[in-house]
Amino acid sequence: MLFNSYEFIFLFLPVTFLVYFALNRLKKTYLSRVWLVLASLFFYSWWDVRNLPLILVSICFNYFIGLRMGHVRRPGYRRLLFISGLLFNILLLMYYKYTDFMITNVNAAFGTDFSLLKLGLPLGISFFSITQIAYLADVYMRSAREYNFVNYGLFVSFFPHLLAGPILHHKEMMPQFERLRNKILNPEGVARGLFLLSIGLIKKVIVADHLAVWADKGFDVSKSLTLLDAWITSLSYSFQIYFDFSGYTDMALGAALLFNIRLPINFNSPYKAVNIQDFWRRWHMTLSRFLRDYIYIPLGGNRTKPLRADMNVLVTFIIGGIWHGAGWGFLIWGSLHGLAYMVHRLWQSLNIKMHRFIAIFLTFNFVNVTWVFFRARTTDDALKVFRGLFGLDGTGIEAFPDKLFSFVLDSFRLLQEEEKFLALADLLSYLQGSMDKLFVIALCLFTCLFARNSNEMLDRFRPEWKRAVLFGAGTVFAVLLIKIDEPAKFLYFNF
Amino acid sequence: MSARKAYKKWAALYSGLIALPFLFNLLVDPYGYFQVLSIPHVNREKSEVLSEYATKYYYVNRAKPDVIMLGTSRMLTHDPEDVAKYTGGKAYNLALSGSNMYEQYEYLKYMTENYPVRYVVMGLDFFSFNPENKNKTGFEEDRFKGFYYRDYVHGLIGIETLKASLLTVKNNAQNACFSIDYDEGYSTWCSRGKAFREAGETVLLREMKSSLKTFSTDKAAYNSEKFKEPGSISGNLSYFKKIVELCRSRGITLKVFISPVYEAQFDLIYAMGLGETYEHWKSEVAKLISFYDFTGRNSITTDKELWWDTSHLKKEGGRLIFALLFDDKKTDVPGDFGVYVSSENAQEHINFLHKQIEQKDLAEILELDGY
Repeated sequence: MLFNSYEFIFLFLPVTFLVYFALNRLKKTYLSRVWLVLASLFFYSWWDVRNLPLILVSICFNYFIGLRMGHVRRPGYRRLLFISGLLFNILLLMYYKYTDFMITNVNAAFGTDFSLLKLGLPLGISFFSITQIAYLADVYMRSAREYNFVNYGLFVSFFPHLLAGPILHHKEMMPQFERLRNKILNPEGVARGLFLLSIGLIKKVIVADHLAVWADKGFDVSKSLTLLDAWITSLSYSFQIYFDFSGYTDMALGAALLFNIRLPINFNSPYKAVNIQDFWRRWHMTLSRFLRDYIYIPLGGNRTKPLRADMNVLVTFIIGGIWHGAGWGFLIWGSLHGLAYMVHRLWQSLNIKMHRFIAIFLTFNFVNVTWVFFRARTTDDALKVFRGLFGLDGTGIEAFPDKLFSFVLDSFRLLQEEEKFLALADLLSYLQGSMDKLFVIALCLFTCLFARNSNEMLDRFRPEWKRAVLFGAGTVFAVLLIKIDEPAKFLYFNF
Repeated sequence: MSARKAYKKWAALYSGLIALPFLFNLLVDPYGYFQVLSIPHVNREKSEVLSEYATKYYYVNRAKPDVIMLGTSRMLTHDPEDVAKYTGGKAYNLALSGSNMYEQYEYLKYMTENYPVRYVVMGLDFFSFNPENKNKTGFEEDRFKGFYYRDYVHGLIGIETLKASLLTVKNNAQNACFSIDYDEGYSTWCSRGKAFREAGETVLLREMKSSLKTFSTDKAAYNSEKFKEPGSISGNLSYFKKIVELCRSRGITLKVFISPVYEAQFDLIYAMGLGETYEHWKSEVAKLISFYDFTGRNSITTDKELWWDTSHLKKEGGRLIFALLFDDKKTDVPGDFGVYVSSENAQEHINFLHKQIEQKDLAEILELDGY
């Protein structure tokens, strides 16, 4: 089920919420958790019920491994259990996500003709697999334990985070379900939850889905792109993925807040980042945390020789890249970010200060350009956008530089008002066809760079009627724009 | 005010605001799925329906008729009052534009299973038996099972529904022309009537040519190679047979007629190479039930004044049809209009009509040359 669907907003969420608190009110707290697990599994199955056995097997197996690790004292046996659990999750992920990619490459490299398995990617598998990997690691390190199956099921399947995160630690969420005051319906939590839900929905439906049309056209439909079109395409995607994914996260956090559960934040104005390290501290923060805690640090982190530390960074980013999907584009994207991180470390060691504006400009442009590899379906599509970004397929109107030049010159001369107007009109005609897109992109850029993000807005939230009217109207507008039969999927459902 | 109360109020205000457009759609009900309120000059008439098939389902359930009129848009032009005066009870025009026999059968089956239907008056159209006349987008078998979730969703939410609600209120307030009176189920042809009054024969000729063009180019009408094969009607014929059997098994009086078409359209059927199928169709129908045939050349099908276009007869003509069907001696029906056809005289009747064909080029027919 999608957060931006009518069935979620008007049926699933209200019913789940009301029954949960009704059961708590009747002091059936165990039953209320069972209800949340069942509701979450229903939420998961709505998309494709054939995936239900897979998540159930995954939950049962990981619960069993976690349980055994909690009881066993022999270090060797615990290690064996941990490795088997780890392998189970990695192999499951690899089987569904990477098998066809590997077959395709083997066929291409060795001229073989192995047929593809054409397995559909089960929804949320990347997220529930790494959530459970983190859990097993925490149990192994004795920083988590869960003996109750329903609690464990709830930890993995709680619907706000199930499909696309945030990626959770057991200790972040489950103690909240135990707290007595969290079992009581809390108007503040409800108001704040609704506020976040509305921000997320507006981001997704009004902004991201709008930008998607331009990005999709540029990446998937156009045969070549002019300079202006290529920048519109790449910037549209950069803002689309931000508003889409952060919109999803806002809705996830908002939905959880209705149940008095605070999930970790996942975005903190990433396009305000002043370097690539800063970007990863602001973008998909829970994935960055996972990669740092469970890959980078176990590899040795930065407590090794500089070259080894750099390699650790690169490996971590490459794993982060291919975690998103099986494709060379993800590998290149991850590698580029890894390399940029290494360059940043080098720059840091030189101890040279860079003006904040330049730093943001460079970081944003790097991120924007590398999204091309992340988004393009084929290498040819990526190259097409790149050619366009550097104007290799024309500027769109070849006379543009002349027009700009003559406009500037003319402006300094003593022209008649009418002539000035004509010169301006001439220049504007170049941009005319793309004015709406440029305006929206400029607005997105302004919002990302200067406006408060949703977490900051939530911190400042007060129950004022003006805010209710403003966000109520925004939500109504967003809800009306949802396509009844086929709401647009969130981008991160593909990963 | 305590903080708790303030948050409560905020959540209530926000939720209430979100509910507003849906409440508005529910009350205006532009597609007629809910029928909570029906206020003249506000929302009584439905000008923005998504599908006649869907909207009629809800209206016929509200009307609970015991007399059903079935057919396509040719039947739609006829006033159920003109039937009810013979049958008594509540008549509803359940004709569905462009419907095939399966669609008509499904609606009738639903009605007979849920209401004590006494009479069915059925106007048959040749193209309803065309195998390429597929089920329409708004036709959903699942709707007959009761709670049809999709209709309620479409009726309540989405920007298109909100637009439809606003237009419904605007059109009702302005007393605009409404194509179908859903309370009775029949088409008033209000806007065309207005155009006829203003521009007379010019509009009529334009509409007649346009109608002939549609029939000659639409695969679901006459422009079908499959349909030229007489055996191609077997599928739809089997549903007509089911209709006959259904009525017999439930003791329902079934009155059948073949809808008249303007003489140029009669010639068009033959000019399109469908003559063999057309005659086979009539003989097959006659094997199942006796009927009135109003096609061919007669004083009604040659009089332009009685037509909206080449296939839709005005309701004044419909009154003559029902007078014959219900043996009304008081109404003066032209003697050449309508022939009672049974299995005994079917072939003779078909031969008689065959002689009336005027062999013309398709272009001449489409331009109404000589009509």
